[in-house]
Amino acid sequence: MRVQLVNIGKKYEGRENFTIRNIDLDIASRDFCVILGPSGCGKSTLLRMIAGLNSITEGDLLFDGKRMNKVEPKDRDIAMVFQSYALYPHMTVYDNMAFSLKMRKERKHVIHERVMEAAEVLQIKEYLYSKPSEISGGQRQRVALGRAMVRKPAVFLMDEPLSNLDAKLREHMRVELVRLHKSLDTTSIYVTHDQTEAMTMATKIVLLNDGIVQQVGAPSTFYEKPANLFVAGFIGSPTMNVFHGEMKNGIFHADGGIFTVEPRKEDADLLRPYEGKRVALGIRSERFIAGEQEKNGITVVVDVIEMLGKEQLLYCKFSNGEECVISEPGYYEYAIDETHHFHFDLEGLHFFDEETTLRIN
Amino acid sequence: MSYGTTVRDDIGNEHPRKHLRLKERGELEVKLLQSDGEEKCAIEQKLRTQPVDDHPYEQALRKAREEEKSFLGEAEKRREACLSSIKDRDPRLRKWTCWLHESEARLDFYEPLVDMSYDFELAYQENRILARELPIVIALRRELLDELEEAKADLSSVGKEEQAAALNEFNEYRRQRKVSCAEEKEKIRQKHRQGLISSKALQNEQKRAERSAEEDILTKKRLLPLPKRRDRVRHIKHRLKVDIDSRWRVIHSDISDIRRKTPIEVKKRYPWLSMLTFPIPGLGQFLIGQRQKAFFFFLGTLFIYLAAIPYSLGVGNYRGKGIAGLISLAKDGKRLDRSIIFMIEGVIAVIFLVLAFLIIYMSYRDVRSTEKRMIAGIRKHNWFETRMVMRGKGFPYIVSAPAAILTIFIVLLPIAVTCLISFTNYDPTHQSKFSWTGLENYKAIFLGQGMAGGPFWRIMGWTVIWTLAATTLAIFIGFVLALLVNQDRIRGKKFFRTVYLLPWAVPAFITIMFFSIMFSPSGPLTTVLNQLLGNTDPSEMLNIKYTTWGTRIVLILLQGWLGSSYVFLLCTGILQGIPNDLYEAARIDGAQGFQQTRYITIPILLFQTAPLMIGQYTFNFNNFSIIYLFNGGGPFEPSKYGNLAGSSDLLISYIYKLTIQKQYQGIGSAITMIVSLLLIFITWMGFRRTKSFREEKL
Repeated sequence: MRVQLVNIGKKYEGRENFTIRNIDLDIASRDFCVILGPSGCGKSTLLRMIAGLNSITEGDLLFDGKRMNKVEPKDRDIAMVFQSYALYPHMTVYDNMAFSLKMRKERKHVIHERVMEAAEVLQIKEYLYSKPSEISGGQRQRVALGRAMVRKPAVFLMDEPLSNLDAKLREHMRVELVRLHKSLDTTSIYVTHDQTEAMTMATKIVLLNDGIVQQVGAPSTFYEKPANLFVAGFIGSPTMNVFHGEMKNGIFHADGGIFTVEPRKEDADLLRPYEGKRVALGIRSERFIAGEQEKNGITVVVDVIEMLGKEQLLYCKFSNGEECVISEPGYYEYAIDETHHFHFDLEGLHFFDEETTLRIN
Repeated sequence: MSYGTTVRDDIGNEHPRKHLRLKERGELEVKLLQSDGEEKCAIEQKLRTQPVDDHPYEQALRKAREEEKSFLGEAEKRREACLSSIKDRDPRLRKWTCWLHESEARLDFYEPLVDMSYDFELAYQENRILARELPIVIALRRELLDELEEAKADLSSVGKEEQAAALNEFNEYRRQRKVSCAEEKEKIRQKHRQGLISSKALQNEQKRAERSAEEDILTKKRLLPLPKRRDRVRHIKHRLKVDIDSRWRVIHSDISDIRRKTPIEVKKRYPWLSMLTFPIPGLGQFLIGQRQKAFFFFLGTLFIYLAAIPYSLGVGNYRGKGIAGLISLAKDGKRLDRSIIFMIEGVIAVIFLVLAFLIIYMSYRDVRSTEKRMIAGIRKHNWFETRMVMRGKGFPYIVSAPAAILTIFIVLLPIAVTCLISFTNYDPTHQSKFSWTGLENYKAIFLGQGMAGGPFWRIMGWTVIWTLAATTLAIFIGFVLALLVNQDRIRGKKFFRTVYLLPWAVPAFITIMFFSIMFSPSGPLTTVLNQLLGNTDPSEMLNIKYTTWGTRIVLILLQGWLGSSYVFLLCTGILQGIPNDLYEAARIDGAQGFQQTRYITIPILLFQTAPLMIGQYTFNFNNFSIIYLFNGGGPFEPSKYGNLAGSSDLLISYIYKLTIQKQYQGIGSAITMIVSLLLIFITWMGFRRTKSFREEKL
C-alpha cells in the first residue's frame, strides 16, 4: 500500500508550537522506509499519526489515495510493534498473537493456522503457551512481531523495536526484519534513532530533525551526498570531520591556518560563487591518505587510538587544538603522541555553505 | 576410621603426615584394605605389634615437647629481662615490645622443629607474622603517642589573649559573611522580581546562599586556636584507637589464614568427646581449648540446670507444679490452686525444656563438628575466628534471638494455652478447677450438642454466607467504582476518589453506630422504608432489627459499602500502573472501549489483586465489630439458637460471647482452633499464590 503524507502537522494540546509541521512524504508500496532522527525530533509522533494513535492537526494522510485522517486504528489495516513490545501480560504468547484476529471474530481454525504460521517463521513455537514474563527479551520481541504478522497488515509500523535488545541480538534481528519484510510483501515504516539500523535496513530513509525533514533518499546517498551539515554529522560512524574556513582564490583556508585545500575542478566551479565567504569542509575519516604531500596535506599529533581490529581510529589534534578523526588499516603502526602527515582524498570532500548549512558540491 | 597417609586442611588441600608413627599406621591400614589372605594376617600382626610409646618418632617428639616446655617456662624470665631494658612508659608499648622479643626468640626456637610436626610449624609461622608485624604496630603507636603529646602541649599553651584576639577576628568575619550573604540573597530576590527565575529557583538559591554562608562560618570557627587544637587532639585519639585496632585485625586474620592452611594431626579416631560432654554444654568446648566459646555455652548450662529443669519440676513456680501441674491441672489441689495457672506454668516449663534441649543440641553439634574436623586435619577455630563467624553468618541469629524468645512468650504461649484449653471442660461450672476431657468439646461442636455446641452449624452457615456475600459485594462495588473513576474522559477524578475513600477514612465504628440507630424500629430509615412501601398497619411494618434476614441483609449491604473503599484504593493503584501502550496495542488490534476493559483491564486487575482479595474474605470472616455494634448479634431466637447466641452472630462474636460473657472457655477455645485452622489454610492459599504472582511483572 502506498502511504502519502501531505503537509502533515501536529500540535499537542496545551502546547504553543507545532511538534512537527509541513511534512510531505511519499512512501511507495513495499518500501522499507526508516524514519531516522535524534530523540525528540518528532519521529515517533509521526508514526503514531500514521497508526491513528495520535490525531492529525493539519494535512492529509493518504493510504492508496484514500484519506485516513479520522479512521480508527483498527480499520486502517495496519499493525504496529511497540518499543516496549506492549504484550498483554496476562495472556499466553498464543493468545497475544491471536488477540487481534479474535477481536475480528475470525474463525477458530484460521486463527490457529495463522498463529502457527507466524510462530513457525519466528521460531517461537516452543513458548506458545508461556506468559510474556516467562520468556527472554529477544523472544518477547519476536512475539510482538508475530502479533503484528498474523493480521497480514498492509502497513507494518515499528517504533524502535530493537532498542531493548543487546548488540548481538540486534544485529541478528536486523537481518531477520529485512527478510520478514520481503516475505510479507507489505509496506514497512520503521522509526529509529540508530543510523546503523537505518543504513542497513532501509530502502528509503527519512531523516528528521526539529520536526523538519532534512533529507529523503536511499541510504547510499545519505553517506555519499549528505544534504546539509546536520545530515553529514548524523550519518556515519565515526562522525564526519568538519572544518570551518574561508575560500580565497579558489583555495579553502581552514581557520587558524592549519591547512589549505585546493578542490578538484568540478568542486572548484561550484565553489566560485562562495569566493571570500565562509565555507565548511567535511571529510570522512577514511578519506585521509597517509603520507606527506606538497599540497592538501595536514600535520597532526595522535591523541587517542581506538583499535577496532580491521581498522584503527586515530583521534588527532592540530597545532591549534582542533581535533579530527582519521581511520587507517589496523596493521599500520601508530603510537600516541606521534606526529604524522596525511593528505586529503579530493574525491571525498564535502563542501557546505556555513550560512545555510546546505551542501554546495 | 583409618588414619590415612595425608591430612586435609580447611581449604581442602591434602598435606602429607608429619607424625611418622601415625603415617606408618595409615600406610599399613591402606595396604590392609587392598590385601587378603596371608598378607592380611601379616599386616594385622604388624599393626598390633607397632610400638606406641617406644616408637622412635614418638621418643623424638616427646623430647622436643619437653624442650619446648622448658623453653616456654623461661618466657617469664625473658619478659622480666626485656621489661627492664625498655625505655617506653606506655604500658601497651612495653607489653608489645616484650611480645616482639619473645616472638623473635620463639621463631629461632621453632625453626629447626618445623619438619617434625605441624604444631611446631604453626607456632613458627605465627611467630614469624608477629615478628614481622609487631614492629609496625609499635612504631605506629609510638608515633601517634608522640604526636598526641605534642598536640596536648600545644593545646595547653593557648593563651587567653591569643584566643580573645582570634575570637574578635572571627566575630568580624562572621559579621561580614552574614552581610555578604544578605546581599547575595537580595540579588536573588531582585532577579525573581524581574521574573528571571521562578519561585522554586528563588527558594533553592536562597537556601544555597544561606547554607554556604553557614558552612563558611562554621569552618572558620573550628579554625580558632582552641577548637583547632582540640580537634587535632581528638583526631589523634581516634586514630590511636581505630588505626591500631585495624592493624591488629590484619595480624589476626593473617594468623587465622595460617591456621586454616596448617593441618593438625590427632591420635583420636572417633568424636567421643562430644558424646561424653553433651549433658554439659560448654564442657566439650572447654576441653578442646575454646575457652571463650565455652563460657557462653556454660551460661546455657546454668540456664538448663538452674532454671529450666528446676522449673519443670515445679521449683520456683508461682502456683503450679511444672510439667506435673500440666498433667494434673491442680486436681485434688488446694482451694486456691487454679487449673489455668497450672496449665500456663506447665506450658512455660515445656518451652523452657525445649530451649534447654536446643542449647544442648547446639553445643553437641558444635563440639562434634570441631572434633570431626580435627580428625580430618582441620584446626579448631580460635576466638578471633569464632568472633568473625558470629559477626558474619551468626549475625542474623544473634540479632533476632531476643525477638524470637520474646515471640515465643508473647505469641506461642497464648496459642499453646488456647489449644490446650480446647481439650478441657473449662466452663461455668468448672472455673477454678477443670480437667482434661480429650476431644469432648470438638465432638459437641461437630455433632451440635449441648448448650454451647448446639447452634454451631447454624452460626457456621451464616458466617460462610456473610463472608461470601459481604466481601463479594464490597469487591464488586470497589471494582466498579475504580473502573469508572479511572476512565480517561472523567473529570474531577480527585473529587470522586476522595468521596469513595470516605467510608474508609471515617472510623467504621461511627458509621456502624449511625446506621444501627437509623435502622432501629422508630429510626428514620425504617420510617422512610415503611412509607415507601406503604405499610401503615403495625403488623405489616418492617422491623429490620427484629427480623433475622432484615438484619442480615442490612449488614451485608453495610459491609459492602464499608469494604468497597479498600478495594477501590487497591484497584485504583493497579489501574494507574497499567502501561498505556497496552491499550494502544489493543486499539490497533481492534479492541474498543468495553472490550478493552473486558480483555485487558479486568484480567490484569484480578490477576494482581486476587491474593489481597482473599485477605478481604478472611477479614470479613472475623469481622467482629460490625456484628457486635450493629445489633449485638441479635435478633435472638432462643428456639433455634439457644440462650448463648443471636441469629446474626458470626463465629468470632459467638466465641466472644462464649468465653468473655458466659464463661464457656473450653468450647470457645475449640471453636477458635477450628476457625484459626480454617483461616490459616485459606490465607496460606492466598499467600502461596501471591508469591507466584509477584514473580510476574507487567
